[in-house]
Amino acid sequence: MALYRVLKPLSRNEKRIEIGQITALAWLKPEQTAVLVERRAVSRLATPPLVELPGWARRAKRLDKLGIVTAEDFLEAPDQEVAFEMKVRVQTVAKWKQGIHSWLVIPPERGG
Amino acid sequence: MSQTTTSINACDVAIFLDNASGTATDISGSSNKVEIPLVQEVGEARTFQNDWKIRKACGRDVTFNITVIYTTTADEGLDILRDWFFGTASKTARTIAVYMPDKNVGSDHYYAEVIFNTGNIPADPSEPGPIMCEFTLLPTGAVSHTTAST
Repeated sequence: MALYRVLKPLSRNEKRIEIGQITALAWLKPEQTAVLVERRAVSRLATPPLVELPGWARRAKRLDKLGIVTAEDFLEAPDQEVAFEMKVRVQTVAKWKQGIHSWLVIPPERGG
Repeated sequence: MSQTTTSINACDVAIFLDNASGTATDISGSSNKVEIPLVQEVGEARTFQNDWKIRKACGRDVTFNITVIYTTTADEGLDILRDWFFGTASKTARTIAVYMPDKNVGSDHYYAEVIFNTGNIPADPSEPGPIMCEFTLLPTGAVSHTTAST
């Protein structure tokens, strides 16, 4: 499933998804996602290769063997599978993902 | 500049307002007009020996003006608004949400917590059409504009 950058604030039921956040829009049908892309409310996220992230060179090489090359590949990979292959705890994988996620999110502008 | 291909009309606009239980209720079928004037406070001054004014902008405000049809069915627009005013919780804010052009993914979604401000229930025997009642709801706190994703 692809990841998208939020370009206009989105509302989902009672929640608001701010500009700069990333989301998989997992609750939408492909044709609904296409509407949001067409209206420039979201855009397909282009994530960097993991090997380019500071401190990730060695980890990226090992993940490459699993076919995980980009940050998006990593975020979407099953935690259990990654944990098994990397010989770490599932919680560690979740922590890595949280770190990558926060790198990709653009913090909201201040004011108004 | 090429001509736009994405103009919309208001035929399928959806309006939701909380009822007394706090449930967002679709009142589109019993309302036929909503106006959302957007206002920014602007102050001005003019200095000596100068024709042109200086202006500064500060706060923003929005009003939700709704016209509902006088109906006798419970939980339609008039019933909800009238009960809100005459009920014990008339001073309590409720959520209003307006979707344009319709309530689908990608539509514009305007929403706020609003306070009941004014209402008017006219009765004119020379008017054969349905009775149209106008209400003004004022936001308390921020008014949001988002793109609907559900």
